[in-house]
Amino acid sequence: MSAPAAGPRTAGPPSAAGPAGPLTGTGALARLLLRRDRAMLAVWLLLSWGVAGARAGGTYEALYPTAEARQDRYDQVMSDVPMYLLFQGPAYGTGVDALLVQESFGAATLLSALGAVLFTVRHTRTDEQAGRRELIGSTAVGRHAPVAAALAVVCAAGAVLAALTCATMLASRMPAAGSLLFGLVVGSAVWLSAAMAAVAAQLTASPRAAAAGAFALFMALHFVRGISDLGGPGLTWLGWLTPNGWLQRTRPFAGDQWWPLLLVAALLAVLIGAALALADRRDLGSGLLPPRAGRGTAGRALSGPLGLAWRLHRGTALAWLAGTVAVCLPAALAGTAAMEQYAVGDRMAEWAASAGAAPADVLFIYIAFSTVFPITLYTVQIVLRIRSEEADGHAALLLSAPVGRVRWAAGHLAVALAAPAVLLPAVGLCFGAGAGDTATMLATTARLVPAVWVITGIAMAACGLAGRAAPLIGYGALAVALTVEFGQHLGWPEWLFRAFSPFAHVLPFLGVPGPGTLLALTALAAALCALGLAALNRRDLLA
Amino acid sequence: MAATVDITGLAKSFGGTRALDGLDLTARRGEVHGFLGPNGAGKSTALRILLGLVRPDAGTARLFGEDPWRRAVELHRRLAYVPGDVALWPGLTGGEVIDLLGRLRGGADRRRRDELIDRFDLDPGKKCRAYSTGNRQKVALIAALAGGAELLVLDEPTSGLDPLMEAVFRECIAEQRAEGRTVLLSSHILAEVEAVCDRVTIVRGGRTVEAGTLSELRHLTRSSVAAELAAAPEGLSGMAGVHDLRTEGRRVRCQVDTDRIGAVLAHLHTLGIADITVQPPTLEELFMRHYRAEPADGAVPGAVAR
Repeated sequence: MSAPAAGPRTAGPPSAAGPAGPLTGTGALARLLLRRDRAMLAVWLLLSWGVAGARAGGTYEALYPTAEARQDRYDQVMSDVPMYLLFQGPAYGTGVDALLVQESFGAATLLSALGAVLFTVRHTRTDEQAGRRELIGSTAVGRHAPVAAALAVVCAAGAVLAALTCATMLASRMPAAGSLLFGLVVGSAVWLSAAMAAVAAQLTASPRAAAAGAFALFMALHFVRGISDLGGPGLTWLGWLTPNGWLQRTRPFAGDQWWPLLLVAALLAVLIGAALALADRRDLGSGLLPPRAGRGTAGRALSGPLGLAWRLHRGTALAWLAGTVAVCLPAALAGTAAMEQYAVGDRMAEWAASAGAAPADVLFIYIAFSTVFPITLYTVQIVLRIRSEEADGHAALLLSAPVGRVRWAAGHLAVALAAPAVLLPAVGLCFGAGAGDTATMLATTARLVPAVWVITGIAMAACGLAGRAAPLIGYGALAVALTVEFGQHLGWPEWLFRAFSPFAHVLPFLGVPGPGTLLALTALAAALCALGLAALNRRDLLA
Repeated sequence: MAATVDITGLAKSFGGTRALDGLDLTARRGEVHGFLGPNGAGKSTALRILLGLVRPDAGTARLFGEDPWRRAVELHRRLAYVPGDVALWPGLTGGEVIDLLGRLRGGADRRRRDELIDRFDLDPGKKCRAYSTGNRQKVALIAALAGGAELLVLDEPTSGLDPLMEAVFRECIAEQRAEGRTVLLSSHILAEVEAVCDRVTIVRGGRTVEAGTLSELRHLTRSSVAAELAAAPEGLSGMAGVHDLRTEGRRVRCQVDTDRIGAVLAHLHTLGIADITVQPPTLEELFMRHYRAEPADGAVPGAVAR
């Protein structure tokens, strides 16, 4: 790789003055990126800050006022309730600061990573696929400038998040070293996941696959760390294999360890280097795999809007099904023995009673429940395809044929409604195989489906009523549901959860949902879908 | 006979932008109708209204005598559309898209499809993400031409085609006309409209400024005459219908109203013609006159001093 030679210039624009290298123009591109996404960036930062720092506000010491309460919480995390280790991570001390970090770690790093991945892919592969990268590339910008600009902005946002988190903790008079360390942990989650996304964006030609792949990897590594923590001293080494484990083991407020951040820095350098090296080795618009020729005529199935919708969603849908089985089945088979030691705890027995299951199955039920969030994210993505097909001009071509709008949109909606109805029972079957009680697990996961449909319905209604704002509303509804769910762990009132999340009504630990609840949720989802389709039929098709 | 496409007083605003402002257009059955205007004149908006994708604010649009918004699906059985900016599904091949659109429109003639793929020199096995703009346009064109649609709605269909493919396109349009089909062709390429269209509607700022057959429109414009004469030209400057006269020794150039061309040529003949070129009036001149003479917003350039 060599820097493009500076050609003869007469009256160049101001930014073109100076040496031309692979990073020329990065500053200008970063400003463009900030201009395009200033609102979204701010929302993501505020949300992440809220999750990372909100607990530290004001009267944080009141969370666990007595030494007894702190010890109680410590015991819950470390020996009574396995979900805490798996989802949140271990507590390294009984101090209130350390317990607070233990609670916030999982949600804060995952939410920070989600935003970082989405923004990085949006400004690398999405731009390239849309042809904007070509226009930018034709101007006097260096080969690496677009990737560098995306990483610079996202990483700067990570630094801001780190500073905000640290400042919040300092303002509550928490120890300075631990505050800075936890700020850096949250910032590192942003930096690492952005770099992973930059690599993923080089590997695959599809923006959707790059974003889903990078985030799924970060989340999977989080749970590998969880398995390591759950597995006791024998599995400690496993946690050292994941960057999430490094971040966890900096132990803020419990013997602050700084050196794992060196590992983070080294991995960052490797990932960014890999992204740039891959960018050098491929053509614009391509991934690593060469394009294949397809069939010259359409198969029998590709003959209507439903056939087309299935064709468009088929690859991703099958990948989701395969991924679900690949994650859940080994987890179920491996986890059965480990669960029995936890079955004796009081808290587990209490939850088992309210969910109507054996105490040994409670962890499985909890994990199965937590899969509704990624699965809902996926169904919202399917529904929003209606909006993107409209924006891309595909819908206009299709609707110029004798195809009504309802028939067109219903194809995508059908796939979106079928996805949770297949994926959640698949989760149930996998964990049922491990728990040995397939019927209960299947019934438990099947009861979650109507709640997913409600969010699906909200996304559909948004496509009909709101047009351009549909993605914001669809993903927003899920984000709100997730936030009030996290809020439950932080002690927010239960009515908030019930009012703003359909999942509250099917959460097994709040009592097994009755047929009336399930019917009501289904009816609500149906009404929202009908509203969306009717509205879509009445408005102008947007270009 | 009822017009296939009948638009009167059509208006549509997007936010504060007035895309259409009293558009009239009539395309009769069996004719190739050119819909001519510069970028941003409202052509695509009008076509989107005709397809029932967008609802007008005022005025009426009728396709085969019916409301395209309320009867979209029924009407779409009788038409085929090629969008101005052809966007295809990146993961499908061109052949699959052609078949899909054909099936949606009620089945296409297999032989005709293969013949068109051959004529347009398209590789139907390639994924759409690998096609160039021109090849994507070919996919949509083949899908439209292969069916038996009574009406073809084509939005700048040749903007990405090379001259060879443009020639194929013109042949295909001529065949469609011979089969009695109606074609509504939006374009800003004057040569194309002159080559294939029977009648033309010229639009500007969302409003119809001229409409008629090509020969009717030609009467609105002038032939250009360049001649070398045996003697110095005399008496030309006073003649009715002669404009922009420039003489240079025995050479003369001028613009002549189409209905006076006979008299002017007769006069030149009396002076003795050594060499003469008469260029027929082109739509281009008409076009230029309409779009250059008066700025659309009525402002006088340079009138306001700082």
